[in-house]
Amino acid sequence: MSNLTIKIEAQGNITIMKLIGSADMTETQEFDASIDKVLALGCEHIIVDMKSLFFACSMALGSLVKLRKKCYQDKVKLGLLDIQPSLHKVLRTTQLDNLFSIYDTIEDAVKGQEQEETSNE
Amino acid sequence: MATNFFAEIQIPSDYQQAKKVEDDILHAAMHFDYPDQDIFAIRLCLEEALTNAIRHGNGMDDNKKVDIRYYVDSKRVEIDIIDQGNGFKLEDVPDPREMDNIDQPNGRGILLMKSYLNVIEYNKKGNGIHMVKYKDKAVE
Repeated sequence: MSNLTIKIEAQGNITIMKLIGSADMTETQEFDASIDKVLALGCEHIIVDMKSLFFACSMALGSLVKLRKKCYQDKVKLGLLDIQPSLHKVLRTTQLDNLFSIYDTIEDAVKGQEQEETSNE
Repeated sequence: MATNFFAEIQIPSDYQQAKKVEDDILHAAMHFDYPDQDIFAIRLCLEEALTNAIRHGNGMDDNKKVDIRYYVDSKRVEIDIIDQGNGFKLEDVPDPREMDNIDQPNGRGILLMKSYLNVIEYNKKGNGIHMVKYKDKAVE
C-alpha cells in the first residue's frame, strides 16, 4: 500500500498539488513523477498543499527543491501551503523555510504571489 | 510485557526491506509510549541513515547488504547501521544551508540527524553510523 497519495487539481490558472500521508524513501520516485506531471500542465501558479502531509524525508525535500528550481526557470509561481508543525521544524532546521514562500490559505498564497510579482516589476 | 526489543538484521539494498525494519523499531518505541515528537525524530533519522546506506553507501547495488542492529527500551532507542560501501568523510559533505549547495542532493539528511538525535557517531571508515535517541530528552 502506498504511503503517499498525491491529488492534482486545477482551479483557474492555479494548480494545487495536495500531498496526503508520508513522503518517505519508498515514495520519492512517485513524488518526482507527480512533480513532472504538474510542470507539464504548463500552469502559472503551483501550490503544494501540505496540510495532510505528516512526514517527509530529505529526499522528498530534495524533490521540492528541484520543483522550486524548475518553477524559477519556467517563471511559474510556487507556494507551500498549510505545513504541519513537525514538518515546519524540518524546513526550519534545513533553512528551506527561507527558500520557499509558505502560506496558511490558498487565498493568502495567491495574494502573496501577486504581491511578489508586483514588487518584482 | 517486554522490557526491551533487540535485533540484528541484514537486508539487501532495498527501500521496502528497510521500511519493514524501520516499522519494527517504531513499533517497539510506541510500545514504550515514546512521545509523538520522539517517534517523528526516530523515523526521520532512520529514513536518513538507511537511505544513505542504501543509496550513497551501497550505490543501490542488490549484491551489497546493510547490517542493522537495534535496541529499544523504555529509556532509549539505540541503532547501528553499517553498509558495504567505501565510506565517506563527514567534512567532505557540503553544508546544505549554504546557498551554493542548496540544489545539492546530499547533506540535508546528515544535518537532520545531527539536529534530531542525542548521539550520532560514525565509524572510522565512514560506512557505519551509531545513533541514540533518549525518550523525551531534548537534543542539546
